[in-house]
Amino acid sequence: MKYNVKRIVGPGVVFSSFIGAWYALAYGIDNNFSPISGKALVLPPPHRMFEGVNEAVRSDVIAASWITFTTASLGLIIAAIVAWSLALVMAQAKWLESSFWPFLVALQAVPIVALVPLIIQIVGVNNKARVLVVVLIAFFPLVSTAVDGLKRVPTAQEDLFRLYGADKVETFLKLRIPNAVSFVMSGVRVSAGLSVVGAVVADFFFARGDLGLGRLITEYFQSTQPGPMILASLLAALLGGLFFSLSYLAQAKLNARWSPQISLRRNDR
Amino acid sequence: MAALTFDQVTFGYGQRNIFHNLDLHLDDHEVLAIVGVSGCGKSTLLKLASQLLKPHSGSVATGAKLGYVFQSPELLPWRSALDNVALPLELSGQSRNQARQSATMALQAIGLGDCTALKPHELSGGMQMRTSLARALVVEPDLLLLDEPFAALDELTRRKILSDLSNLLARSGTPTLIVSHSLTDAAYLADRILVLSASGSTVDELRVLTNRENNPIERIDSIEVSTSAAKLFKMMTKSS
Repeated sequence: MKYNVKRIVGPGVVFSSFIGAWYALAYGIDNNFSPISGKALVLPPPHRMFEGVNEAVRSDVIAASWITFTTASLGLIIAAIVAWSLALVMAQAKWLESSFWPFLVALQAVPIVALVPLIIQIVGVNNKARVLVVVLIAFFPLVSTAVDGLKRVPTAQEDLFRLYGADKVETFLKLRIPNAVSFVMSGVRVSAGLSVVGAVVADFFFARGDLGLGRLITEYFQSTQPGPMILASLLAALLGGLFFSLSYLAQAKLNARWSPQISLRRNDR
Repeated sequence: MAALTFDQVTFGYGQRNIFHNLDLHLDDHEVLAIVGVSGCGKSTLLKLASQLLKPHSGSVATGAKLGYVFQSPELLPWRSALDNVALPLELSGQSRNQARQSATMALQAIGLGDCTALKPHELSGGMQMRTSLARALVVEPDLLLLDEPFAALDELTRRKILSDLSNLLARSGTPTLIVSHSLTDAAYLADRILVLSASGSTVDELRVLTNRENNPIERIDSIEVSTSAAKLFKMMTKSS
């Protein structure tokens, strides 16, 4: 009983505080409301959060969500294929691993904005450029977790395979790859969330082609339409949540098969 | 005929020398136990015997087929007990079906006939160690190597597995090299026990008259085993 009360009271207090802070901010910001129409200009209060959302806005947001969804999905899939292929190469030898790492770390550290001119030169200002940004953002967690999983095999299990005369291919197929599944899925979970962020961010840099949520958010911001902007932002967040949840479910499913000793329980205490 | 021969083996890690011109042999059908203080090179000796490590000088001769039981069961978590036991046969080129048939028999022989479909996390510590033992025996090894396999088990489970192992060895006659911290286990199971000094050279040897055909687990508490264990303790004290 005590446990249930805690579970209700905790989130309730946090939610109420959030809504309270939102109201305080909406009514506290200078010149937040138009003196003529009374419309919110920057942040509408919670009960008017979707102010200005009409049928046209709704259909625009839904279409943009689909574009962001496909961009993020395609980018994530391409990133996974390239990252896992590279991880297989890197896991073959220590020198291969150390040859690639500096470039991967540099790729991870370089801000996307610095790569924009290069991307424009290579693929142009279009959907492909946005997919490429998603690939660049989602790539690092996928490759680093896969390399870890392929290499971090218990020594005794490696010894066992050597003892029974397994060749390199057998050791990869029957030991290293199954061992890597839980590591790989942790990477997928991180990259799934990042892929949506990447698709939205890419919209800021590459405006041409189909309109994604990022571009729509910018347009609503520039035309002082905070209600539609909140709707588009919420959908971007929901999309991120959807990607994360799907990858979480996939992780749970695959771990149950390949790493059943790993628990995905969230309420450990 | 010797199942294992160490001829003037020298080995070390970096600057630290573990063995210097070590000679050792294990007769066919013999169970040899190695005891000694931590860090004296017991596990290294097993790795040299299994060719997982190569000696710096000297040679190690053994049969082609080896069974190895590690300190922890080292079962692959994604494989069932049956598939874990079948693994060495699969790796040696047997078909999956053939390997699974032999694995089923090996699990039955060790008392896990009902647990073939269970994954390692669904097995108790003792059952995991039995599975590991079945995996080592399924290849019908020329030499069985056991690296402190009972150290992490509770007393009851340890005794049951010791007794079963003694019976299995009596039936199969598999020459066995066992490394153990437990002087009692060594005295109960082995025909011969070598005491390794802290510097890794064998210092003493104790022959035990173990009749494995009639080796009930109650014997572990017998005066005979206790006396052997006490002798081993004295030898270890002297050598350290």
